[in-house]
Amino acid sequence: MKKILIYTFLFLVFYNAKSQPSGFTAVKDINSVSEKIKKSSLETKTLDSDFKQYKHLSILTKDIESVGHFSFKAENKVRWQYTVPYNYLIVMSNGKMWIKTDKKVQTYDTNSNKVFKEINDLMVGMLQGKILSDPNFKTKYYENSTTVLAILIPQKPDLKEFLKEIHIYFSKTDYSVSKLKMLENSDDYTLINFLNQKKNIEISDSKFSVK
Amino acid sequence: MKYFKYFALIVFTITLFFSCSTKGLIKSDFDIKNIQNSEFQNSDSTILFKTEINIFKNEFSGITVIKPTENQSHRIVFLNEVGMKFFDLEISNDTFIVHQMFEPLNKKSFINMLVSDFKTMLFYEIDIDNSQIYQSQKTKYFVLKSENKRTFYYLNNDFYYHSIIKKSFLRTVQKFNFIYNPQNMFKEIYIEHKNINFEMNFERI
Repeated sequence: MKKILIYTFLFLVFYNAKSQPSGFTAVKDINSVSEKIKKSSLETKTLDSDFKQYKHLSILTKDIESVGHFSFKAENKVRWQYTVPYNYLIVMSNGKMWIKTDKKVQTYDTNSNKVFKEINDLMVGMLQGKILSDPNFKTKYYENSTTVLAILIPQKPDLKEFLKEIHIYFSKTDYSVSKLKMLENSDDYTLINFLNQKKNIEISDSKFSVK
Repeated sequence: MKYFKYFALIVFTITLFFSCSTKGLIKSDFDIKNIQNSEFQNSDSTILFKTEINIFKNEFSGITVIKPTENQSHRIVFLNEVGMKFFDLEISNDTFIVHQMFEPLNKKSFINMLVSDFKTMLFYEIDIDNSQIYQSQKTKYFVLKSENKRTFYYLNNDFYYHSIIKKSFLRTVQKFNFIYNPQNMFKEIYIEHKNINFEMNFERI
């Protein structure tokens, strides 16, 4: 009996340690936190930021690093510009998606392409925090003194196929997204750190179309 | 008319015979020891390529990671710029494992083509001991012609492989081009299928 109690205690300790991200505790007042994120999202008309992306593959000893610039304009204009290791531009705006490389520009209609629409909705939803109320994800909230971490677990089979979890880190100073981590079922992941963020600056609409 | 038919048949047969022979090439006593192994054959380091794959008018771009693994196999991971994996394959001489395949690409025929292309690109199929070496009369290029398969390996002046051509009975069906930097490391690799709309381009990062 004593042994069972010890094993039960150890299991609970390790289970809790495993289910809770290191350095974070579960958010007690979820309504208050989600309200703050929602308010920040509604106040954010534009967002301009540098970013550094790390692709972690278990087969590699060193992550693949990419660097670029990101711009967002409400409601749904997004511009991802990669400059390292090579130039690559993705622009999403009003149901259209452009991909520009050194060689060519390709245009897609995100409304008629299911895969691109899901990518578009996912990216805009993550950056605006709207994804937190998406029924296609089960969300858990954690926090420490500086950051709120939302862990989203996809519920739809087609998303579950390539995404295990999405971790969105919100800075407690203004509840904007500071970091994104997308985990695959293999535990490989993509981590995007947003740096030098500027909120509600003037960004021209011309930045969200590609010719 | 009957004689014309026979004549046409003879002309066709002669054309066929010559088109299938190693026309313009002479057998060479070139020592195979001079042939330089490719980076894929003699390096244990991982190579990253900026990649474009066009398959039946669908275009995919991203980064391909090619990593030699233990047991003489290679892991090939192709992911887009945002980090989403399109496929993750492990290839060895006589088998392959699909670790992950993006659902729209998860077709048996596509996987088989992909595996076959990577096997050729990574030089798994080359069999120097059972090949014959020819030298072109016009150029200094050497050709390794496999006895069993209609696959031709062309060497450049430094004796590195610069192209691989696969032929069917009548014509070229597939072409692999290898471009090197001054250190004789891969700079670019281009694979083109002549009979279907499928091409892959790899630029070293």
